[in-house]
Amino acid sequence: MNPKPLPTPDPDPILSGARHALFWMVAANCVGLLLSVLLLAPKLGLIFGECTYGRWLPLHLNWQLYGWTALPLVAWVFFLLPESSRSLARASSLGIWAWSTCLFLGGLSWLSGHTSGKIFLDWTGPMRLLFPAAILALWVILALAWWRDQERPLIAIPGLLVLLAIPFGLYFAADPAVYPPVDETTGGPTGASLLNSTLSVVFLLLLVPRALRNPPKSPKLDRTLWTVFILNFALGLYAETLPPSHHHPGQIASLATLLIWPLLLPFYYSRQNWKNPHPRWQRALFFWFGILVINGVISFLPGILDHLKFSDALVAHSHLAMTGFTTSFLIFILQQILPPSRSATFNHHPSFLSWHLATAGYICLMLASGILDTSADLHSLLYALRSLCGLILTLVSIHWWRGLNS
Amino acid sequence: MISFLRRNGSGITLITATYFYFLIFAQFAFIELLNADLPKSLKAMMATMALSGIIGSLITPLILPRFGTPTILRAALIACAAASALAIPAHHFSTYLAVSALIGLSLGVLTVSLTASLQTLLSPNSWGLAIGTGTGLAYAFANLPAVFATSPEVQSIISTACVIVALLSIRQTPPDPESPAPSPSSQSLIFPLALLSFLALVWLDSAAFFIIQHTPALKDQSWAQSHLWKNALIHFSFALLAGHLLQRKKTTLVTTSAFALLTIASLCLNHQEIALVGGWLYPAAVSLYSTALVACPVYLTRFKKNHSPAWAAAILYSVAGWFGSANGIGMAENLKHIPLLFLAIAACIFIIPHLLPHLKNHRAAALLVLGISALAFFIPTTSATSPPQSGQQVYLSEGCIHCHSRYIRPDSPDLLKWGPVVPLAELRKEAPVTIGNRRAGPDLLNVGNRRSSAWLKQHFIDPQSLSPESSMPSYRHLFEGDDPRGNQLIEFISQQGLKSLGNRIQTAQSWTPNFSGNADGPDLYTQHCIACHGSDGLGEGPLSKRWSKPPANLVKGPFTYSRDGSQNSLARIIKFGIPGTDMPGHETLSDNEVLALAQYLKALR
Repeated sequence: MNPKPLPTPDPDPILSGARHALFWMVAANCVGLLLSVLLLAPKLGLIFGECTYGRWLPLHLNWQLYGWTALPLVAWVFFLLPESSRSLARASSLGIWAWSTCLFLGGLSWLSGHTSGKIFLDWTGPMRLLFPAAILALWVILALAWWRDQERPLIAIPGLLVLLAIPFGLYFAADPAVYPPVDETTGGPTGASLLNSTLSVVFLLLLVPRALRNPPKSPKLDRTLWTVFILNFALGLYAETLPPSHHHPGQIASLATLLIWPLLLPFYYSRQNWKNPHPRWQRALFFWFGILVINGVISFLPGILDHLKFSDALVAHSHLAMTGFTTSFLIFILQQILPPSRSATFNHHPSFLSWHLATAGYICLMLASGILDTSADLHSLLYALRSLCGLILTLVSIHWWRGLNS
Repeated sequence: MISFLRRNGSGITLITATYFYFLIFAQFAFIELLNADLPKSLKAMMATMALSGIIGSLITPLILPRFGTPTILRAALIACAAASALAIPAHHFSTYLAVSALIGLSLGVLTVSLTASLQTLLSPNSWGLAIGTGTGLAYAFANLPAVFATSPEVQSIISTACVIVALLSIRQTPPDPESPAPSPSSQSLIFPLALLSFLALVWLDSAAFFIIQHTPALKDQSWAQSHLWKNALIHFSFALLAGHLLQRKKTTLVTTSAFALLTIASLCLNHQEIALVGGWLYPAAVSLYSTALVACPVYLTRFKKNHSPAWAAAILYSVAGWFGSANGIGMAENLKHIPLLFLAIAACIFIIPHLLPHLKNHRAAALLVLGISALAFFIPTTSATSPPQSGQQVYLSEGCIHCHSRYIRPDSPDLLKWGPVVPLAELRKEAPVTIGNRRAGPDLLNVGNRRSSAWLKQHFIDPQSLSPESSMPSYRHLFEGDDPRGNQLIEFISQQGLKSLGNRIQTAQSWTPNFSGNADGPDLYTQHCIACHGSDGLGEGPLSKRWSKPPANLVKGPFTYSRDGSQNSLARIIKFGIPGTDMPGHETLSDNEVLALAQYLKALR
């Protein structure tokens, strides 16, 4: 029996999502570059009047998260739409425009000083309704697509329900009265919170091969990894019940279990039938994922966390997560869902190399600034070099964005 | 190089002479002469010049076909030379009026006839570099110290000589000025778009130029003798760069970069502390767009069929040149600064035409974006005129949370620096919680027990005056006029610490420094004490008048808080300040640094 041919997804909303995502990456990087320059020469901020450093920073953070990080995932969801929903392509593209408009308005809102102060959940006033409404509009398009599909696959229902929870979850989480558990000894997140948030990333990584419609090569391997994941997740739930201190052995041990994933996941990916194999970005993805997990676990250890907490070493960790791992992951996804002629921009060797070298440079500089007790001159030098890395990252993102639009 | 000059020499000379004449005579020497003789007539003369310029520009397309380009160019150059020569002996209103009219008329005719006929004067393979060279040389010559700093009379003579040289360089039989323009490229601007873009650029440039010229501090910073060579070099380099890019069809890049640089320069000029940055960016921006302005009528614009570069040049220089320039000067003269609203409007004039062709293909998306954006009117803003708000809201609005934590970790070095601990449960009652996750600056939970309100206010207004190495921006706008936000913010960050003032005093009294090595006392004194106590310790530093009580005279006393003069009592004051007074602590100094500073202070007594 011949397998049923897989439907070809309509490329329009996918390309639109990718373009918007890259645009927000460029915008967020430009703001990031501006911020790094303002730290070097604070008086330059006078030209922006009331829009000081603190008002620009949410633009950098939120545009990276809700623009560059979220929109490729939206494009990925559109990739999964059945062929029968082709007529919804236009509505999907408009949904992405609505999303981007909310990000733009969010930028205006933050710059005008209207903020809840909740980092990464800074949706307040009318924007707290408007942005979830834009996400809900996209969900309605997805639900319509599922409804119009003659087969109406039941397996899609849990996925749709999970996606439906996002706008409502975002509205709830943006409430200023809601705050996650805190480790009293550090003022930061507990080990269990870190474990569970990293496991959500692992969940996505495990989902990728099937959700990209790659035919399974080794169902047994799939089952094994999902079993390990469920066990790890159960451990994460148990860790929530332990005392939250980073000195507690249970918190340390449970977080350390994450170290198995930098070993298992690359092996899992190497055993897949990728329709669009891109080993370079796949290697980059797991290189940064490995360092991210190792760095995260080491940074949580007593003594080390006490020294690094609140310091530039955390900026290093954030960039390791966003610039290194997340960007590699998202570009890997985009390469799978975009036509090869479009995704060719990510294969440009000099830009690939520049991105990763600048990322490595950035991380090392911020780690040095966080770990060492630097003099004022050395501190300025590190920050100046950081700006240079930021400039390279911005230029590379512009190159990718132009490549996608050409 | 020789071949480049042979092919383009005449064109380069004409461009250089025209720009140089405009810059050093029409825009500078003539105004100086006028100011010396008839300062009250300046506006009338400028209006006459602008009006004549517009007339001169608009008649040129009519007379060019009849008399031919060489004749018109010669006549215009002779008129220019006559105007600059006559300006020296002109001391009466009527003479100045005639000279103003002649300058406007001759320059109007000269610029339009020259730019409309560039394809007959320049090589098709190197026109960009030739225009860049001509424009760059004009700006560079105008900025040479010997030219720039000389008297207006000498500048008028040099300008006269310059146009005579140009007159001699005109070829005897130039090709037909109506020869076809180069074919338009995809990077060519449609004419209305070019017109709007250059109008925004010239308007902005003229306003910035006027402000620099009429603000002594800025003028000194931008056009001081020591800066002239720098300006000349920047002008020349960026004009060459612009020419190179234009030849490579990067028109949008050149005009957009010029606009961006000019906008940043204008914003910088509004603030004296960073005006120097504007002084660097301004010449770069001006050279970029000036080169494009020369090339625009023939090389950078797309027309409909049967177009005439002469008419394009006439409209461009009338509207963008004379009208834009007059309005820019008028705006700067009346407002004394470049308002943000103007920059926003200029940005719209500049950006929207570039977006229109793209939006045409995405009408539905454009409508959606506009519809949702209309909701932006409902986004509240925080400003001096906003309704009263809490200090915590100001703390959040200004993004303090991104650089400061409000959490003291138990059993950690935080305690000594910024203690005491406040229970987590109490902090979680705040909505939102402001624990934060970064410390680019110190923890602020208990800042009220170690810094006075006067100190905090001074630090908000000018952080570097108290902490020279600080990367904190100034928040002086929160204290301007009747704006209550600054004081609300101080009240918010101080309230928790004021509750623990007694605890802080106890911590200070029980602290003893541990010596483990040497540090440089005098250097530390310069870094941390000089602003209030002065370089000689007499309590007369630049900030000494800002406090409720004058800073202590460290040489003669009286020593109210360290009567025993022991090293430890001095060290405690250095480390923790004097809680309840304006004397701050220096919590981040190591024990060795504190001891070295205490040693130095003892030696001063």
